[in-house]
Amino acid sequence: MKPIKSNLRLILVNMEITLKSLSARPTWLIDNTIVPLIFTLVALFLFYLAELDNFIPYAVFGSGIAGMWATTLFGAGNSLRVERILGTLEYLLICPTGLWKNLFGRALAFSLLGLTVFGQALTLAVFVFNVPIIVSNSVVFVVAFLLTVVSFVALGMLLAPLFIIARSAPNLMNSLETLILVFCGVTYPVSVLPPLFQIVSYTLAPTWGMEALRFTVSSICLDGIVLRNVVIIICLTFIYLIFSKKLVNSIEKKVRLKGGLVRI
Amino acid sequence: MEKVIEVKNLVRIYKSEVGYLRKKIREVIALNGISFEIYKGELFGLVGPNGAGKTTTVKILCTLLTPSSGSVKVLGCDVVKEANKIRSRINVMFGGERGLYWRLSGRDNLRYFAYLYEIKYTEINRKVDKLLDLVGLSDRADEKVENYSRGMKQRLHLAKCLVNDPEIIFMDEPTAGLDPAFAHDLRNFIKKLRNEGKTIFLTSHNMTEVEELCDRVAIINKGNLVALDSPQSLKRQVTNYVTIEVEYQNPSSELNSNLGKMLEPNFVTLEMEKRNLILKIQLSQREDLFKVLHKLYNAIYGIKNVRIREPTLEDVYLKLIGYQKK
Repeated sequence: MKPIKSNLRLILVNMEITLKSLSARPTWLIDNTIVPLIFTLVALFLFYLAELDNFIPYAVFGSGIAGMWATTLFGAGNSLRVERILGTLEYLLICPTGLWKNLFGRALAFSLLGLTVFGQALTLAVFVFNVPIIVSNSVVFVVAFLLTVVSFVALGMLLAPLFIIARSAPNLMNSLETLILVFCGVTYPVSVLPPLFQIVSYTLAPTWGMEALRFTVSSICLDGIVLRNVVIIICLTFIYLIFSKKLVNSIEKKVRLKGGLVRI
Repeated sequence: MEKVIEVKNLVRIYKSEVGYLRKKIREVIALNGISFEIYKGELFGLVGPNGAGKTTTVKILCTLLTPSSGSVKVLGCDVVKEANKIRSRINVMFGGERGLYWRLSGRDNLRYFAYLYEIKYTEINRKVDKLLDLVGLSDRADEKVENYSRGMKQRLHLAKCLVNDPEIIFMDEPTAGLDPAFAHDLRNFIKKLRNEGKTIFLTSHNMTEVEELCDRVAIINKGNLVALDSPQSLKRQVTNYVTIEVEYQNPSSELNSNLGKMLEPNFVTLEMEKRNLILKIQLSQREDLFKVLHKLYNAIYGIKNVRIREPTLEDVYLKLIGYQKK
């Protein structure tokens, strides 16, 4: 029980430190609230004018999740880049708690910030566009939503360690951010993608999460299908987290061998 | 005495790629088979010129870098295979402005590091307050680190490296860039830590500091240990050495250019201080003292002052490293 408690505290303190550092940045409100709000607003207008049926499942959920994903991935990765510049990454590598748990706390903090983007999308839909969000089973919706968020965090954890070894990671991350959104079918159904792409899509947990979310607001919600998706998300997220732990360990080893952390 | 650090034939090679189309691997040998041991409660100094391998040694000992070959044990544990067993029992102070969260307060920095070192949750706040008090930062604890002076950042580094009450503390050039008053305070603090039984591994460029603080000193150059002993024993290598400092005015350029030749084989440096020139002659034979003084008396007019200084650790350093360069 004690390790669980101390690990939870470590994750929480990482979240606190991340949010405090972020809020001390003069431009944080613009980066994390105003810019995503503008993007969300544009996406909602485009869909609202086109087809109202797809407004909630694709425009609202899609823009909300896309904003959250961008904040999580870029935030977690960028925080490592900042650690590198500040020279604190070296201390994270030699502390007894290890890098992975700290990174997980950071990613969770950024996903929390990302949730505000999702909240913005929902609020705009209801209060600006007057489109009510009707979910067939609110418990299933909440579970599917939270798991989708965690699956994005886990996916971010798989990609963020690249920032430790590659100084050019921010450029790569920009491309990956969009690619993941494309493959996960955030603003359209995955079925429109070529079959080969669909194979990749279904290895990504958020694809199943997005599908589950859409089912909860569709007129033909089948709890069984949502449950199947939930189980798949849990399994894939678990696999991502195991892989990310292994990846961080192997990158740590590589960094110790190469000794290039001081270069920024 | 109990050995807490054992280094045997430590080699560290850095590999980097050179070129764009035809890439080649360039190897730099940072440590070339060094061996030494450090005992519990000892204050051990490692000195050497820039790029000699001091920081690399510290990084290997604190598990941040992997040795290319050789064996390194800290507190009886291998730094590669048993790194996790070591980390909670040691801490490191790299010094300088890096290594702190600038946008957080000093208190938040310490709190965070206390969590990273798995300090008991109920003790963290009390411990952080105590450390802030110890380094004299209590009054400014809630200010952002970006507003701290260099000295304050160094104090925070010091508090940070004590957060887990480590058995061994690695300090990499802790007084570099500090004003003399704070450097003096820091040296006293280091002595206090040693008196409390901590083992301290210190690297520095300041020979006076190393001579004052360290029980034993290792001199490293180009990845090789060139000397290892107590400061007193090391100074015995240069008992013949005496430094004469001659302060004089109105020198002729001809005289200055001939001084080196005139005083051969002794080591001569010339420094300008205000409107006076200070000639430093390091004699390699004590017996030459009166002969050299006589030569100077005949050659230089306007001598204002003559000082004769006994050998220091700096002389040992210059003999082993400085002279090789000259």
